Amino acid sequence: MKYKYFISNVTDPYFNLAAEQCLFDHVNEDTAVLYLWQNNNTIVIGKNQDIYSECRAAEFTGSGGKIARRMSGGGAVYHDLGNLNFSVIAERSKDDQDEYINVILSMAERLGIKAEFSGRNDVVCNGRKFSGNAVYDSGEKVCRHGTVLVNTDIEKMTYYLTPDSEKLKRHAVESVRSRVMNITEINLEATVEAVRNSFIAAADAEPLHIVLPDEKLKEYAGFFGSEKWIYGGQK
Amino acid sequence: MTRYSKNHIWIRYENDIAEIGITEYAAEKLGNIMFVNLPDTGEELVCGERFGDVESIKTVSDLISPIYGEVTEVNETLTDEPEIISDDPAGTWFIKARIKNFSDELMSEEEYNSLKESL
Repeated sequence: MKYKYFISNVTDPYFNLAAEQCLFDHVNEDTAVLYLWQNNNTIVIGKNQDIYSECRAAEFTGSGGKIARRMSGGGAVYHDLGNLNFSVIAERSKDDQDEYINVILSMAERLGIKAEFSGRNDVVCNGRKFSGNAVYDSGEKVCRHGTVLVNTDIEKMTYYLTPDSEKLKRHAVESVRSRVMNITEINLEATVEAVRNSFIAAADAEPLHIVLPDEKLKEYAGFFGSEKWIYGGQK
Repeated sequence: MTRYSKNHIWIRYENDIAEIGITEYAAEKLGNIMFVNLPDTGEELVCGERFGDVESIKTVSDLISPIYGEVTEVNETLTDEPEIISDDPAGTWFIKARIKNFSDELMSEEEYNSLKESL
């Protein structure tokens, strides 16, 4: 598959999730979009998760953090500028989990990290997770996305995420806590910039020269930033 | 009468009343289903647009309406016990609806089976 990449230059989660939606319009039979983005000081929960059983929500937002709900399923994650998010959006007929995984593994290999896919959604090195992944579809297009821990504040992450707390609501998905690590533990010189470049090289992607449509972007960002969606999971 | 959509939705209907669910193929592809989000009774259905979604162990997938119409009943059991879908997808309806119009692209079982084989 041919890839075009797009890099977000903002760190607001609502804008970034909105941009991901806008990028669906730039996918076609020949081209998938590789989207690279970062959220600062943000907890992102899965589509159907209960916010209060997944994180110390009030304390986190009280200290200036943002909480966002994504369209894909799975567990809660913490993002800061030591973490890079990546999305691959493709036509359903071209969507391929193995290819997606290979791009991640090839990205890691370029940084001297021998990684493997583990369980349903994790990428690990020496049994420790540095990337979590999730999928959702919309119409005829599929979005796979994930995180890469480069030099995230893991202490802060484990403080604010509370996957082990008892289920407050019966529908809460319990996040599975596996041991996590930053890739700088393996490659001291790895940076977010280097991971981004390795992704682009691994996908052999060319730049996607577009300006995101302002009105649509604002509309989606309003949706992702609404309390109704964040706290209630209601569209 | 039962018809199938390319989005792997089945619709079983008599006169203008329909039951709608997901096919065995879809259920197999999804794997264990953990959440189902369904519309409210009275909501309008637009052919080709989402009327809900399911979260499985693998993905979050939109449910695409095969008809124009109105939701008359919602299977609330699925919200609490989504796992019953995988046990019997063909027998588990998600919503009941009053049909206003069909999609032109609905398939017979035979046509749907050959579509599946081509995937």
